[in-house]
Amino acid sequence: MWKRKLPLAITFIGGVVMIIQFFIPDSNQVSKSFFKILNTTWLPIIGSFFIFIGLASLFRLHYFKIARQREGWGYSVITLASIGGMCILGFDWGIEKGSPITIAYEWVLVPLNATMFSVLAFYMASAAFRAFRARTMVATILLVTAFVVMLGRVSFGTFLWENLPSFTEWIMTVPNMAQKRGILLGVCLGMIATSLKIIFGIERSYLGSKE
Amino acid sequence: MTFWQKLANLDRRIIFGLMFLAVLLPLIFPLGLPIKGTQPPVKAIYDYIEKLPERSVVLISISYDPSTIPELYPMTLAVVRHCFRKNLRVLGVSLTITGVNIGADTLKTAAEEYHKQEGIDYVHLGFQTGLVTFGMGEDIHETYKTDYKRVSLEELPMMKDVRTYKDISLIVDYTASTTSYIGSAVTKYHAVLAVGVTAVGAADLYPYLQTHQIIGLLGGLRSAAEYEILIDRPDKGVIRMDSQSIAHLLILVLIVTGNIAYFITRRRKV
Repeated sequence: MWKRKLPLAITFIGGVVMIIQFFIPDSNQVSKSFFKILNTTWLPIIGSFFIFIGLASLFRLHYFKIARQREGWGYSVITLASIGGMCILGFDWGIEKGSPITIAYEWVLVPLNATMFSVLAFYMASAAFRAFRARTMVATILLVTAFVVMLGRVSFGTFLWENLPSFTEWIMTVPNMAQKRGILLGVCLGMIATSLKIIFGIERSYLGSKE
Repeated sequence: MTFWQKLANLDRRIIFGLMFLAVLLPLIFPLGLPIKGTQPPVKAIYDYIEKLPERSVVLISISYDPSTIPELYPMTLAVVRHCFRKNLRVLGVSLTITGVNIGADTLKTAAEEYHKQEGIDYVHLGFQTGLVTFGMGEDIHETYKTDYKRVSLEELPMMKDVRTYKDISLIVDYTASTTSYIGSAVTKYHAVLAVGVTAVGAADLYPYLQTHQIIGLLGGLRSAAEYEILIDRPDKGVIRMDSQSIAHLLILVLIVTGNIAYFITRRRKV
């Protein structure tokens, strides 16, 4: 019974405490001390376990993929070797320029990461050519807006019309902001509803598949 | 197959090739395209830093990965340079593990230019697990204990009078997505926040700008270039703007060409 009730109780207490501390003035020393311990001691410890659980989960997934020689198991070998390699390099040789972890970071991680991200430019160009069509009224509005904003963000914009950057800024601060705020409010209300369901034990899927 | 049909079905490898040249050539042969004007959210950050008294502390938070270095590093370096030029102290943190080296490199580069000393004029705290944006509001020394080189904060002269957000005049958070400081540092601890973000992410932050939850916004490479011009130190932001301008122009040409080809071939089918 406790196996199920204890996590629910911890979630309830943790959730309620985190909500009410926003409404307790800083002058309340009990609340302040508790919140300080929570943030400076407990959460870093819990955060460290997140990393451990993440690593364990990743290792388990790739280990079984290699052991059963599933499709693409070679990539799993590279993944595990890379994680292991970076862990060893970062273990105790410092983080100064020229240290093993910094060399691996600068000459392996940075170029790989940048390459992955820069590939987006090519796909965006291709997608802009094939998919960005003025098929309907809404698509046309989107297209024209994107066109103006893109032009207003680069040097050519001012050549065409001196006030284009200001007009672009107006698009961002008025129509763009209005829809963003609407989406943001909707997302936040959804998050509050879901959080309350978790805090009060209505939503229990995080406890496992049987819940 | 007519010319327009061929154009409508243009091989993607040609588009990739054009994009490659559009990005590469302006980097090799800079065009020096002018960057006129400054966006108000960029100017707001500049003005705020200009008004800060000497030795005030600015928290520079590096929350991005190497993938967005080309866009975010120039604006990070520009603001740190501005802080050092104004004789402000800089406190660096990284909310991502992969951001630690970026932060260290940025602070070291700017510090060498302005002859600033680590531990006195700037400190880099590095990465820490947990909700550090709340922790720093309670006690930075308890949250981090050491800097990224494992030197105790108690031993660093700069950190003697820097304990919470109350001792920090401005937080500038650089992120590839959204900022973690609004719900914590701004809402609970009333800290002053500015954000540097990729051009794609900038649109999401405008609501916070209007509510003054953030005082300024650096969105994309254009903002970085504008800031470099404001501090009279043109660098990578300005140089890369040529490349970005040509790449944007190519995409605009592709959109227009694609639409013309689409409508002509559709009309002929009808």
